[in-house]
Amino acid sequence: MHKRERNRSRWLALMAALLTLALVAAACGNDDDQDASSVAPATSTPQSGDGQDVADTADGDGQDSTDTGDGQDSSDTGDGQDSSDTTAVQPDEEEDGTLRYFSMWNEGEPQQEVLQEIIDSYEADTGVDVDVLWAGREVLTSVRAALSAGDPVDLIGFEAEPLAGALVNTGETRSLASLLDQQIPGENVTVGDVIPSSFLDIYAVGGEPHIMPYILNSSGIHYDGRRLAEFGIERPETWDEFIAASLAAGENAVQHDGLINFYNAYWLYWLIVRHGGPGAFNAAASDPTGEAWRSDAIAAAVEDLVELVESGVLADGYEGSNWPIAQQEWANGNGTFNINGTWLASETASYSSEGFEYRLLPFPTTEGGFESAEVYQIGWVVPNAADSPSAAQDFIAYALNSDRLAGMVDVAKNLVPRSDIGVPPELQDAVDMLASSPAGHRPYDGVQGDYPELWIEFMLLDDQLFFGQISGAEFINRMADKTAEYWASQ
Amino acid sequence: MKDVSPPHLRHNGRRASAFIAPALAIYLTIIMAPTVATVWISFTEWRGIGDSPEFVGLDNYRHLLRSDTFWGSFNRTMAILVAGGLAVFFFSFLFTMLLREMRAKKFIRAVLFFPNIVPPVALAIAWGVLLAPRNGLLNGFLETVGLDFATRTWLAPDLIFRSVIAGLVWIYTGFFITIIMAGVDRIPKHFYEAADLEGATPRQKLFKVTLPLTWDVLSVAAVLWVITAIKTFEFIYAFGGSGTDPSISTWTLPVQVYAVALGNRSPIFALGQGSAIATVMVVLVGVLVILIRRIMRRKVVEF
Repeated sequence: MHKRERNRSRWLALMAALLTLALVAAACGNDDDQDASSVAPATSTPQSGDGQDVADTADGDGQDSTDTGDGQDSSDTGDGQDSSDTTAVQPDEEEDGTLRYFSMWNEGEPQQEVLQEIIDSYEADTGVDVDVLWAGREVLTSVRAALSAGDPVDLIGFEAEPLAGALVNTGETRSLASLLDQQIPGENVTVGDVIPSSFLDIYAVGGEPHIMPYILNSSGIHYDGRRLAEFGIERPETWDEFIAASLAAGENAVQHDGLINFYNAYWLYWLIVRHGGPGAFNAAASDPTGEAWRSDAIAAAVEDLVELVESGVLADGYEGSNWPIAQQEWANGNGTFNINGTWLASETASYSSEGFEYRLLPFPTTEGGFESAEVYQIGWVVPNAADSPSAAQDFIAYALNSDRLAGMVDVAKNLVPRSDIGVPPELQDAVDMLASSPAGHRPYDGVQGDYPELWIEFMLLDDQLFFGQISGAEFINRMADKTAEYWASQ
Repeated sequence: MKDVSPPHLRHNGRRASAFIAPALAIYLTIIMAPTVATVWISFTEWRGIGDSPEFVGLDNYRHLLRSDTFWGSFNRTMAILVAGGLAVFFFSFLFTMLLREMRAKKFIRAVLFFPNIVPPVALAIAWGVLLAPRNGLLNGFLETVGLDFATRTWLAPDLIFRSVIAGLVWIYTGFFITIIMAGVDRIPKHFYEAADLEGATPRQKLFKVTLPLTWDVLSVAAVLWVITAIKTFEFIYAFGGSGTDPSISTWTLPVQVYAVALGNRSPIFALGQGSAIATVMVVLVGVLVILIRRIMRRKVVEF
């Protein structure tokens, strides 16, 4: 009897142990799955960041002479799905024939639809299977989860600044130098022939490109072309003229969604670049002593921002406006100006008032200041951890074909880095701005990408200044201290 | 020491161990191990993308002490905990007392519980629309009923976090009403009848009957609130805007952990820093739970 009980007890213990092992194994398995599933699409809806671009030239030099504009292979029928496009390189034998692509677009966005067409065509032409994740704007969160779980990521498409800050500057991406010599399938040109080096140099590492742009944006002050005439206002060019025009432009003259920190940062970053020149903001952030914040240029920029806030031209409640409320009101005719990226036209197209004339004002100049245009790229990187890096490069070359990339202009209303593709009419002002500007600079002068941690502290203090909670002097002192502390901790 | 317990009890002990082992193994593997790992990572600098953690001692904690962003998040978390907690328990008791004697109390309790079953992200977006500055529903309503003077920029820096707390109170009050009412429903009616016969006021009934006889339930509810408040994430994350990063002026500790360690639009991938904040949260929860359990320790009233 006792023996039977003992046996039963042992049997139970054995079963319990086996169950434990099974559950632990399952738990471990789930853990992995969870990592993989956290690669699930982000819930964020489209917002900024999609964008447009400016074709060539922030530096005004335009395209390379080899960028002839026609550039098409005679066998390319122009529908972008040309069967002769099979000049695309077949996958490397060591690669598994799958390209794992993480994209910043959400399903249903026009850019996603254009890319999906390109992917479908690429798969048909090359036999490579493209496993794409439409991850939304927090795509790098998904990338991090995949990489930390040991899952391969072959290609990432996102805004250049966060790509630079999170991956390129930390040495986690591959050089794309060999891609420049690669022929674009369906055309008799190489990638290096059609993508100006001025774009590639911005994020080059050791002189070699790491980000390949496919969309270009910029930023400035947007307005409805009919509205200035309505108020009898001349198109302002200088800061003083802009303030005067805003004062004359009725209620809610400057609409602004103040709950987006990086939209608030537009004003001060632009003012610093105007007063101190391209690189002045970045120089202040990169000064280990923090003393660069006490420069005359930054003092003047801060003074101008305080003037804007105190002038009362910002729409009532701007400090509590939740995106996209202010831009919706602006597009509906309640307000004249809105500082934003060049994506604003496509973002507000569905709800703008009838007959809205999209116009863009370059950020106003300042006396004795500098002219420069923002060059905001959206591009691809190939991470070091890629399993199929050559397939990733092949895909980039394939997608840069002028017929295929034209979808970004015609359907998604974006600018692209090839000057032979044309521009959407809504963005003609942006193209003119970029073409005529004597210099170019990175979004937020590169501070967001180069010093993402300090960027957060900056946005926090900038908000307080922009909402009138602290004085200009306090802002400068605290930024100087924060910058010195940041560098001391590095 | 020699086990002097009777053989049949020793046998039961072994059997119990066999049954406890699976749960214990799972707990240690998927709860304790990650927690210990988080504490260890907080002493390192690590991006978690194929690189190796580098031991940096207390650097991440020193960094937090100097960071305005961290103290902002910490203070907001404490504001949810204290101000939100007081409001949640005040309204929970108020509704419990009102509902106790109502006929349709089960239906009303279900209605009050409803916000709990709606995803906080959806609620947060709805609150954002409700409180929008110019065309928001709340300001529109106030203007319609002639209370123009009461309209505000509800999401402005001085009010946004109070609005967030109001939203959280609205979400969680129904949950705590349900818990507290379950405790109140256990109290035999004759206690209240006796109190009525002796002329007790509602306030006296609350303090002399309801509170003492639901003290153990309240203790559990308080602990649950501490954990809920410190972990609040989704509502804050979605409150600042649909599709945008939440404004830094609304960050709480868990939102900052996410932003610093895992993602956001411009990620830092500072797993060490994020783990340091997470460790602060664990310590905060642990200390507060112990304090609450000690402060609320009473002799259990049998009835």
